[in-house]
Amino acid sequence: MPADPVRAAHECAAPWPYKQLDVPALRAAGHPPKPFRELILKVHQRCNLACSYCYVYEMADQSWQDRPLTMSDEIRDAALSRFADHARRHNLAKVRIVLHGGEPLLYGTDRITELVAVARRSFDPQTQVRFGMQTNGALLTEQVVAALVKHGIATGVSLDGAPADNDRHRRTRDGRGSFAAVARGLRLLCRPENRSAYAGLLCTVDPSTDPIACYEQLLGFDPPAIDLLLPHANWQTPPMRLDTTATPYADWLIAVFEHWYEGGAPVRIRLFDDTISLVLGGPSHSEQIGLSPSGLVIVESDGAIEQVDALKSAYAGACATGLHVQHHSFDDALDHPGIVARQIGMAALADECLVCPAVEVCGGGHYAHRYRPGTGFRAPSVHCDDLLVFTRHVYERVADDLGASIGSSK
Amino acid sequence: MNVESTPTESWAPLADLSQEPLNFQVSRGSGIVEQALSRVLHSLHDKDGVISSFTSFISEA
Ligand code: SF4
Repeated sequence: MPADPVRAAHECAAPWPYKQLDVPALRAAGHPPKPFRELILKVHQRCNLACSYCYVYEMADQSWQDRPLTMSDEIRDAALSRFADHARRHNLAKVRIVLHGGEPLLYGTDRITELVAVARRSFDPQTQVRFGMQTNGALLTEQVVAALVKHGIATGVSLDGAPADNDRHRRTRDGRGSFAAVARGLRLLCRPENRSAYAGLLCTVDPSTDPIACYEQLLGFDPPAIDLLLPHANWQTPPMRLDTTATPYADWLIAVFEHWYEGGAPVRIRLFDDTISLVLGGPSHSEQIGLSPSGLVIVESDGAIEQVDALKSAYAGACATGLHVQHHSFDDALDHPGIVARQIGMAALADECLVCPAVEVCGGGHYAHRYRPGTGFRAPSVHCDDLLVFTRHVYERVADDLGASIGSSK
Repeated sequence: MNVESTPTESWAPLADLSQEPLNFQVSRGSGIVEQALSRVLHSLHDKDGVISSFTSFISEA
């Protein structure tokens, strides 16, 4: 067993990649590291909501309990300085800094303002720095939204569709639904003077809900973009299933896809855009689907450099790298097996995926959804059946459309 | 641009824009597919393309 306790925990829970991935051999075989282009700062560890499926608080990893409530100024400055060094070293033209939590708005608008100012001072002028935030939206007030607009912070808001559906999962600690408060915030973001701060809506799919009612509700808030997220789950903690169908998530997604496609795609839906891009031979920009390399890294409120926090759904410590912004560079993180595993495309896939006809489109699904105890992350997605049905539907729909149009244009 | 209309054993990409220049005029498929092809063309020329975390952010491509 290695002396490093972080590494030992990983090797025990996830033999792949931690015991089996030979990083030097991969580098020698022509898999260079891809620099990080997105830094996620966990500026606040707590949340004003208590959503039933939250991977931060409700799943395997409970490390939030041991971390400082908010990110100190020293950690903030170290993280931004490290990221600016990384951008300089790799000559990056564009980077993004995303504020996340917990609920990032609990960090306070004054501190957010200061963070943006420090970040802008840290980077060389040739690197364009964009800012984002993922919030539950319940704390968006006129004053807060004005600050987001002023500082150019593109804000994604989580909302799970119709009021009753949203409020079943997204509730306050005392059990009240969050829809009304979020709707107030979204109406502020919708105002013409605030739209530059409105990035979009993020909705976790619940297959027991009415897909069209959900889509129409989201569309009613006039978002620039929507994404539909399969719930975080893995082979140890599988997703909710329905008795009525073998592929409830695919059925739900296909219903929305058809409605959206037939309606002329009035809003960008990232999962759909990415799936269409993949069937047309293009890349994906999302973690959910495809084989694009991951270019993101997290800094927790205590300064720990971590992998994407959706992995918290797998096992305690699944995000850890053992690195810290005050002692390590982001380049150090690029050779961590968990980071490498997200940048090597097909080489990270299970044998079942490698012989799957959908592999170039599906890409094995979200890395966190592949976790299988005893194996690690080299397994098909626990959403495999749904991914196969959904991606096949999109493939055939686009093939028909393209074929018909080409035929008609002759 | 090569187009295959039926899924085979392994699903071949439905288009190949990899040799096309950035200013190639995409004029195939419905409005949605045409827009998607245009984005694919831009993505193929974007060497910085990596996935981003927060799925409500849409790439500007
Ligand atoms: S559909 Fe299943 S087997 Fe095929 S690539 Fe996706 S996860 Fe792997």
